Amino acid sequence: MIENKFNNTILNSNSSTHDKISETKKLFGLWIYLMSDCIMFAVLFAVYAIVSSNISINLISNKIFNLSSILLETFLLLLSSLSCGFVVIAMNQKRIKMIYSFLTITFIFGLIFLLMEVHEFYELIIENFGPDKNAFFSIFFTLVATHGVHIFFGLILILSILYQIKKLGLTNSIRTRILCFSVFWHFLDIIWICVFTFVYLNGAI
Amino acid sequence: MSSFLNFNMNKEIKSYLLGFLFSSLLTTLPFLLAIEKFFCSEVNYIIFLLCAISQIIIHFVYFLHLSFDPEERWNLITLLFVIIIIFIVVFGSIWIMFNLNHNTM
Repeated sequence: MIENKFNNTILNSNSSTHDKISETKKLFGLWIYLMSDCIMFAVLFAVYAIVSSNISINLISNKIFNLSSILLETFLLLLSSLSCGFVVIAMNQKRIKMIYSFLTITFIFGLIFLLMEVHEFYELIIENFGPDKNAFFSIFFTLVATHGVHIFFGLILILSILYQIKKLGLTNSIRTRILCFSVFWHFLDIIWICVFTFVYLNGAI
Repeated sequence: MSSFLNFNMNKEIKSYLLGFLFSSLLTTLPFLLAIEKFFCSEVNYIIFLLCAISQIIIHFVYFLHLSFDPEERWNLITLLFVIIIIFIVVFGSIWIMFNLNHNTM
């Protein structure tokens, strides 16, 4: 009996260390993916830098970039990043309600960010600055929209995590998913820093 | 044990709040400079670059919790490798295109 119990505890501790190892492996795999994503964005930034340095300056009027709305978008993304960090803290404390509310806050901020970006694209296309206008606008739309698509998939990830917590509770695999999501979301914020510095601020001065 | 745990939690919350504070400062400063146009564009450009780099480092330290722990060493090594590749790709292509502009005419 005692031996049996002993075996059980060994089994439990084994499975928990196994979970821990698989969690770090998954996080490392995600990290590698994000690093290769970085290279993709770097190529897009390189193309942007080349095109924007070779285009004549009067094609890009300063008025196409509305800086105050970009500042608002930046703060939305920053706030969602902060609440995403609080999701991880709430997960470590195993407070499911707090996880729900912070995930919802993250989702709402991300959604407002995405809608503002779509609105900006819509206005540019209405004013005849669409991606087919010239090379500058092609790469501008490609670069910013690639970031937007990443945000979109992050939002889908939030919805799936919310659904899974509701369905299954806070299991180990969901904890790993939340950790992966938080790393992904912070990484998107880092990409956005590069976007607003090299695209919007440089276009504005 | 519970007080230790609380202390740990507070430390984490503090790290996120500090990161948020620093990055909001570093975001507002370049936008202010770009809207008000205090300096000439070269000085502005250098300030933007410095703000962006320091904000990226702050994100890595306070939000992604990168450190020199032996457990996370591989994360750091891959990051350094990617930074080298990005440097080669970006500056290499800018350099090549710059030379093309001058030498094909």
